[in-house]
Amino acid sequence: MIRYPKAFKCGNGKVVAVRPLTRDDLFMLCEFFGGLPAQDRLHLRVDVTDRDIVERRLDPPPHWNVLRLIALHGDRIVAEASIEHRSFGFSAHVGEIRVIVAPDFRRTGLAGYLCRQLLAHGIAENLEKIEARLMEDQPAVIRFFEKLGFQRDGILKDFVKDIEGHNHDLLIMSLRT
Amino acid sequence: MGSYPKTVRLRDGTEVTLREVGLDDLERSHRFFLSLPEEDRLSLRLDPSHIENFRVRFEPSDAQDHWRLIALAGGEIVAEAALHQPRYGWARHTGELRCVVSPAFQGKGLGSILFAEIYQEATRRRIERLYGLVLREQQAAMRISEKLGFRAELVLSDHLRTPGGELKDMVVMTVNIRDLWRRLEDLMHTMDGQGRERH
Repeated sequence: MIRYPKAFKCGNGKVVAVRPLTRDDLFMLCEFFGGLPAQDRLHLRVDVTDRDIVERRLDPPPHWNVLRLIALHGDRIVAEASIEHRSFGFSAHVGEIRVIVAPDFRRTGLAGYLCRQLLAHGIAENLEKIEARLMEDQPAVIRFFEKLGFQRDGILKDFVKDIEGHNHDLLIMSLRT
Repeated sequence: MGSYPKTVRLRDGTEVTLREVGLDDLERSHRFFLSLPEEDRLSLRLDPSHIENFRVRFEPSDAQDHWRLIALAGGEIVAEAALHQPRYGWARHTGELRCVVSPAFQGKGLGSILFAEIYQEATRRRIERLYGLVLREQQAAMRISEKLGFRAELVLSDHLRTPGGELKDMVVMTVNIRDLWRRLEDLMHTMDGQGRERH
């Protein structure tokens, strides 16, 4: 069991506190999502400007185990990352990881730190395979996951519709623990 | 199409009733899944050996993003088709379909009828891309999907762990909904007037 909060010194010299997300963080979380560049929001799985959706997602779906971490700089969320897997069934050994970082905290090592925390959690939960799902047109994110040891599994054509209604190919990457 | 229950006649003259699954179908549905060959159960990623696990499918949260249709003969379920669509998010235009027909009712056109029903529901939900997961070794299921226009697009290696602990690959079969309709029309046409809906 990993203990939180943890302090992490980012490459930009700022120290952030990392801890699991709670329901009390909704306002800060909406502010974080609202502050992301529009181009970034296109690449997210859900429309994070919709407060109802953000709030609904605070409660994990039934029969899923979810760990969502946030990185706080003062009282501002600067990154959010999660890992989730089914609590039972034939694919309970497969997890999925996601990470979103505010522009001023990118290339500071924070995303890698959060993902390593989540991967350690996944291993402790006996996950054997961890997936990342992203759009094919995100080369920097793809390189980031490759550096963590993820490999490309393949593409599902037109499986992503962004909030403007445009289709993109979905890339699935995975890591064996 | 679309209003249930309704009775359809299969290629061999057998009549089955199609309707959406209800809360009181839990035990009936459990019996059906227990009766299936293990390979089918694995492909459905559903372990019916514990009814508690099975109950998930009848919880209100399940009904929000799943649509389930059953085919009944003699009061028992002989096939189930399900469509899963995320309620929101970047995959809201995609739907995962699962379809299973009991061995005794295979080869009678029931699968095609269920796919046609799924197609109607998927269209109503504005789904553009449909997909299904099959075990890589389930060549027969892959052939049937290919006849309907699906193609193997991605392999998810070691995606499934059998109750015995063995890891197996799954194949993601995908189709554009328009292509599915063209194939379904051809298939229904070759049924020569049978396998049609009867009111």
